Formats: sequence, C-alpha cells, structure tokens
Amino acid sequence: MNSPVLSIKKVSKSFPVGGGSTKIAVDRVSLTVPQGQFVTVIGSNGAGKSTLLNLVAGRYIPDTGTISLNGTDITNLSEHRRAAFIGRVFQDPLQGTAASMTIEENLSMAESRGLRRTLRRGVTKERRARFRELLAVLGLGLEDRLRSEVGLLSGGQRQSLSLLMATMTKPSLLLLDEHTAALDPKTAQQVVALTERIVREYGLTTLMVTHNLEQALRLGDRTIMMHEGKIVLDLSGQVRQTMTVADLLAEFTRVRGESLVDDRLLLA
Amino acid sequence: MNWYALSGSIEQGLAYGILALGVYLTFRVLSFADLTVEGSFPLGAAVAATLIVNGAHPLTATSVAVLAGMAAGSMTALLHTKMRITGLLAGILTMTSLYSINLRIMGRPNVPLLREPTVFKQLVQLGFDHPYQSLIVFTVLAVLIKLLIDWFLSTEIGLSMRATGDNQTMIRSLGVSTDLMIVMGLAFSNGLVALAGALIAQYQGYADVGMGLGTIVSGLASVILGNALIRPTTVFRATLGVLTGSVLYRLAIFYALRAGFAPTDLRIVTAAIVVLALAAPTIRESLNQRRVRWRLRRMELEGDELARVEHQESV
Ligand SMILES: Nc1ncnc2c1ncn2[C@@H]1O[C@H](COP(=O)(O)OP(=O)(O)OP(=O)(O)O)[C@@H](O)[C@H]1O
Ligand SMILES: [Mg+2]
Repeated sequence: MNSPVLSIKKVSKSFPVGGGSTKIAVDRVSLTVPQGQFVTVIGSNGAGKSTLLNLVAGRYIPDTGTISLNGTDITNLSEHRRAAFIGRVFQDPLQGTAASMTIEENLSMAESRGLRRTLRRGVTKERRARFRELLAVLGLGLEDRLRSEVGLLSGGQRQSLSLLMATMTKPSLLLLDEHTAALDPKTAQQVVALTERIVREYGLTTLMVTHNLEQALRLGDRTIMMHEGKIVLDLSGQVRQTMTVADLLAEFTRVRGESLVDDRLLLA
Repeated sequence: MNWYALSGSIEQGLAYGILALGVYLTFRVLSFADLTVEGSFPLGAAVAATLIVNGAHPLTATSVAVLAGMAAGSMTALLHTKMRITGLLAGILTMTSLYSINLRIMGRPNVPLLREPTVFKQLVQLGFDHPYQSLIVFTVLAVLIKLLIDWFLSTEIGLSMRATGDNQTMIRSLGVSTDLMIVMGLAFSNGLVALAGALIAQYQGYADVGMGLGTIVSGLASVILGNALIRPTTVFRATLGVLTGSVLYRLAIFYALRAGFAPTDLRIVTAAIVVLALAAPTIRESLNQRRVRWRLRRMELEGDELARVEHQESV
C-alpha cells in the first residue's frame, strides 16, 4: 500500500506562558491524510489549529511525536527544506507575497520551489508567458500587470496570487490557514471558489482551517474538529454528508460543555 | 569653480560609492542595518596595505582584502542567524573586534604606501598615465560593480535575497534558507566595503586604523540621498541613485568645507544631509498640500467675489 501523504503520530507542542507554566497548544494529536484528500479543520479560537499547521510546515518542532510526509520522517527537517513539498497560504494577505517586488518576480520565486536557486535570470521570457496564462485563469486582469509591484494590489488580489504561488508547482501538501478570513465576504467567496477549483484540478492533498462551518462541510472530503489541542471529531463519508451546520454547532456545544458558542462560529 | 577640486570630489564620491553600494545591499536589499562596515572598511585597507608592504602584488593584495571583508560580513551574519543576536548588535560586536584585528594585521596604527607599488602606479607602468587616471579607474569600477549588482539581484538567488529583506515568512515558505541569504548578502556587501577600503588606502597612500570612523553614516547618507533624488522603482535606478548620492554627498562636504565649516563639523553636516534627505518626501508633501489649500482658498475668494458681483448685478 502507498504511504499516506501526511502522517502525524502523537505530536505535542506546548508554549511557555509566563510564571514558569506552559500551555499545551497541541496535545498528542495523530492524523493520517491519504493522497488527494481535502481536509477542512474547524475549532474555536485557541484550539490549536494554527499550531498544528505550523508543526506540519516546520515553523515549530514538536516536543514529542513524529511527522512524516510521503513516508519520510520530516519531524526535524527545517522549515525551508520542507517547503519544497508543502505549499502554504497564510491568513494575512501580506504574508504570502513580497510587496516591494513585482508580480512576475513573486511568481518566479514560487516556481523555483523545490529547485536549487541558481545565478540564472529569475524572470525569463518562457516563465513570463506561463505566468500570463496562469494569471488569466484568475480573471482579475493581473496578466497585464506582470511588472506591477505586489504592494499595489488589493487584499483579495494578493491572496489569489498567494494561492497561485502556493499551488503552481503542485506540492505534495497544501496548508491553508483561514486564508479568506481577512477578506470581505464577496472576495472571500471568490478566493474559496478558486481554492476549490485548483485543489480539485491538481488533486492536491490539503488541510484547510476555516471558521465557516457551512464551508467546512461543503468543501473537501473530510472535516476534523479540534478542541484544546486535541482532535475531538473526525467526519468523512456518509456521516459527514448527512451532517448539518446545526449538528456541528451542537457538537461544538457538547465538547465545550457550555451553551455559548463563539460568535465567529455563528457567522457561518 | 575649481575643476580640479571638483573632480577630486567626484573621484571620492565614486570611490566611496563602492562602499555605498555595499551599504545599499544590506540596508535596502536585506533591510539589515549592518555596522560591520565601520570595521570592514579599514580591514580592507589594513590587509591590502600590509600585504603590499610585504611585497605582494597590489592586485593580489586587493583581492585578499575583499575576501577578508567577506569573512567579516559572514561573521556578523552568523552571529545574527546562528546565535540569534540582533543584527545591530552583531554588527557592533564584529566592528569592535575588527578594531583589534586591524591593529594586529598592521602592527601599528598607520601603514604608509607612498613609496610602495599600488594598483594606480601599476596602471602607470602599464602605460595608462592620465591626469584623471584615478577618476577614470573609479568611474569604470563603480559602474561595473553597479551593473554587477543589477544583474545579481535579477538572478534566482538575487530575487531570493531581495525577498529575504522584504518578507522572510514568504520566501521561507517557498523553500529558501533566509539564514543563507543573510550570510551571502552580508559577505557580498562587506566584500565591496573592503574593496573600497583597499582601493582608497592605495589612492590616498596610507592605511589608518581610524579610517573607518563615520563610514557607515556616509554610506547611509549616500544611499538615502540617492534614493530621495532618484526614486528607486527598479534595482537599476536604485543603484544609480546610490552612486549619484555618493558623489553629491562628497560635493556637499566639499562645499561645506569651502563655506567655512571646520573638518570637525562635518559629522553634523552629514547628519543634517541625512535628515534632509529622509524628510524630503514629507516636506514635499506638505508643500504640495499647502499649495493646494492655497489654491482652494483663492477659488473660494474668487467665488465669493463672483457671487457678490452677481448679486450686485441682480439688484
Ligand atoms: N508562538 C506562541 N507562543 C505562545 N503561545 C502560543 C503560540 N502560538 C500559539 N500559542 C497558544 O497556543 C494555543 C493554540 O493557538 P493556535 O494559534 O494554534 O489556535 P487556533 O486554533 O489557530 O486559534 P484561532 O482560531 O484563534 O486562530 C493558544 O492558547 C495560543 O495562545
Ligand atoms: Mg489560527
């Protein structure tokens, strides 16, 4: 049998929180994601979703446990080496692109993902032609602005560009951490649609954190819910298909042991 | 106007322009305020002068000086990336150590080169003897280095370096080691600074342990002045601005001296130039606003006038 794309085994991570005590952000989490699966991740604020993604991406090294990618143990691999196989889009549109550089320069750097950077010209004619095609798909008119500085783009345009940059080399794994949260509803919807299209078209294995429950159920093949550093719900197949937002909210209430649900969750 | 004195200022501007290009690489490209410069500039001079005095070919001596500068830059970068010391402090630590190292290398505070071969005298021997020899040499070198930087910053590695100065999260998520980029950038930068030190020592005829004093400020002044005058929308324009800024800075110093400032006053003159250059965009803006406001007020007054006339006519 093929090894799963992502295999997380009993991974924990805690952070110091003054006074000598620590806060367990991710608590002995295990998760296996097979090739091509699109997983949505939900959970209240501070549940550990971002920390989990950061552990996978290598920004943090786990205190205990192992992480493997395509069957290779990457637990101690540095962030930039893992990046050869992992594409990311961040919540903040400013984080995914270099503002002072042009669209074509940003795309060139993304296209070199996983390759040794050389003293060859970064932006070539062939690349430019390819970028124009890729950008045309976005329908934002960016294909005619290859030489504009990215800092001049709107948040939605930047996030669409980030998504393109994260996926254009078809990485083994795509990590999306609330990548539409900072956008206005209409733009967010466009970026979600684009995400869905790219993930499906390339068959990308994906982890997507979202606070939108409707979206979490509608998109992808599997939904996991985190609470206090643990995965408390793992839905797929038939069960997931019959699940409604109301059911999920009820589930939230149950794990939190309280009737008040986070406002952000109700926005769904 | 004394052309000879003027050409001297231009010459110095271009010579120190090589240093300013180094400062541009760290300060603007990597967004790293690197104070190593104050030590790697006299390091270049010390290494080149000492080697020449000991019989090395001036070109060899200059090349070794560049390597020494690169090592100094790497040192600061490693202190910063591996030991997690803030960039500013890492630079200060290297700069401070270099003071001792430079004295060790020279064995004394000052090494004269007047009776020694230099790259400039070698050129004379090769038949390139011209009243503006050093002006021509520094112009050609500064422009070549500017073009080298323009090219480098357009390569794949160069783009990664620029992105490191812009957004480390982003370029790391694309698979680049930002630590490596910082080491390379600081090595490249301080190599250029040491080259400037080696050449200026040979040009002025001595290396002195104190010659690094104030170099970072003059380098920054050149970069800031240049970028204020030529908007750095592309790398080509940015580096052109740095060289222009360096020449203008030396001219400003020249006129300041002529205007009666004592050499000891030059530091405050430099600071004033930097403040002016930094404040230029703000000043320009507020002037523009005032002009607009003024025009609006006048339109209002004219409007009132018009209204009054119309009113009178209608009566
Ligand atoms: N770098 C850090 N240093 C200290 N504590 C941290 C750090 N990162 C996360 N934490 C803590 O770990 C816990 C989990 O945080 P995390 O950001 O993973 O939550 P999240 O599920 O992404 O929440 P949100 O929905 O608000 O984004 C929180 O209590 C947070 O305060
Ligand atoms: Mg989060």
